[in-house]
Amino acid sequence: MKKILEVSNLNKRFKTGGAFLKKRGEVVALSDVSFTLYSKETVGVIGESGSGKSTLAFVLAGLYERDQGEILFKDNDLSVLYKKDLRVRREIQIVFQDPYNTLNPRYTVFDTLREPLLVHNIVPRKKIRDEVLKTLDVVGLRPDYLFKYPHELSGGERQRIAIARAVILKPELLICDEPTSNLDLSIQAQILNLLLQIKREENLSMIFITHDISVASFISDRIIVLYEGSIIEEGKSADILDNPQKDYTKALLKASAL
Amino acid sequence: MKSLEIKGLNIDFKKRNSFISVVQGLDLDILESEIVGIAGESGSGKTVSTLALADLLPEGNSRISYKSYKIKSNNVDRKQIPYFRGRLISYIFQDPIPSLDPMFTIRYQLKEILKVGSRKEVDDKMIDKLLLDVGLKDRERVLSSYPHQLSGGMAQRVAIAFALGSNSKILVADEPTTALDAHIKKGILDLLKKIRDQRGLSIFFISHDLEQTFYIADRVYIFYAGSVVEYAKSSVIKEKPLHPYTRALLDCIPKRGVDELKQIRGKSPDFGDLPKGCLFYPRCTFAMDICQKKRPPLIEVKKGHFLRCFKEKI
Repeated sequence: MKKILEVSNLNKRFKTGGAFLKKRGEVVALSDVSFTLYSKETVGVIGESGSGKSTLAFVLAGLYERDQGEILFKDNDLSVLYKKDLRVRREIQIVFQDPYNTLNPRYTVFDTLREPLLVHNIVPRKKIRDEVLKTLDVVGLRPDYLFKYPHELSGGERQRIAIARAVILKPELLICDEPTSNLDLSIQAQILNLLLQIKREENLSMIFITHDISVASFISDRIIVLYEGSIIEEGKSADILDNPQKDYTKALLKASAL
Repeated sequence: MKSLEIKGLNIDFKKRNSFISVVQGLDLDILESEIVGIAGESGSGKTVSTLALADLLPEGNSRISYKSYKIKSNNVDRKQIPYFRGRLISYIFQDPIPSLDPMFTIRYQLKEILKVGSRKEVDDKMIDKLLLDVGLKDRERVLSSYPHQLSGGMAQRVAIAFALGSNSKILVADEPTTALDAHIKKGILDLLKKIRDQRGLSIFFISHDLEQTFYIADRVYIFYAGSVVEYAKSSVIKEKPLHPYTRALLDCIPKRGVDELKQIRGKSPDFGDLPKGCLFYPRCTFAMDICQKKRPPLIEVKKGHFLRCFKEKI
């Protein structure tokens, strides 16, 4: 299998304090995180809040700079790519947790979806409208959504637009940072099915961050368990769920089962 | 004994110049020391109906009417209801932090509530006991904290302590675990159960998560578009859900080893434009002709199992 992403000894620290009368300190968000993502694979990242899940997503998407360690994206150093070769920004896309804040309130759906195409200049201008319509269809929205504003859409529809905005660029790696945790069960099912379907059709690799074990078990091929910034267990989904080795994983699974 | 019973609740909201009906003819009751689960999608009227119990909906923009409102089998006058807030009925909400005052320490706020709730002088013992009851161990730290210094799980426990401190008999827990991490959820659910056992509290547990609702509740109401489509003991619904909507909701829960989750087609109806027949008709996989024409009544199909669907009758 082809490796698409290889992360080794990734570290990320945040400085805290430094304001009036407050001591400076450091929070270790990621320490020595190493894992590999193969092409067309979905890796689920689980852990409690504060375990560094989202930091990992942000570093991989180039929204934070790493402190130490190496990230290879298709055998090239990602941090170099992010500075020099902007194509990589097309190849790695991210879907955030909160569909309410990630869409520009003054952009219509069409504007939102047109923007990435214009920035990356991958479709001739005349074809942009067709491309947008095609992607809307992929995420299951009718063409009459084209000129709606985010406030006219429901949570599930907004998340569909956020997904459409990511997949319109035909990325190779899609990072999903808790895309369904704000949504109702019935909408969650629709979004998860949609992501799986897109993944199959477009040959995507996916990193899926969630704190919901049942979601992780449904969508991922492999699972990584993060705790206080380090990976404490990694393996095939079935192995982790049926036969967890570490006490923390066991506790996490037990606490999540009702 | 029934600690609260409301019959024929109607709620309308103002939209531009007309009122649209959001909750239609709802009957809701709760026994003493019972946990009643209210489940349904967002916009199904779960929160609105329970807010109406303490008259908490915005005046002027909403209209509430009901046939009868009883507390312990005594009829209650509409004017009395606002006095129930925090005295008889307490609420905890999805996000605990905004329901705490950011300008005061937890100690100050707890004292204030206990003073009102118990109508006597408050000593540290009472505060300690309350915090112990909600499972907060690091008492000194919690008490001297401001709300923003608490984690989500701790803040939710503090919010529960507030509700208990006021000595209410009915607690409305409106999605108390949605904003929390998966592994903290169970702790909060167990806490609610424990409190119910210790204090004989009646709890309305509102959630869109059926697994949680079944775990905690004795009886479950399933809401769809402002009306109850099914209610029964939670074990009964869990074993054998009858309404197509309940079944569809259960199918939405992500499972392992499934290629694709079943999903409910379409979306919840617009309250301004409700279907003429069964509200679930446009999305129902079992829809029949009659469903389109007539709205099914809520009937008792087995003892204690109520259903709003034509399918079972035939």
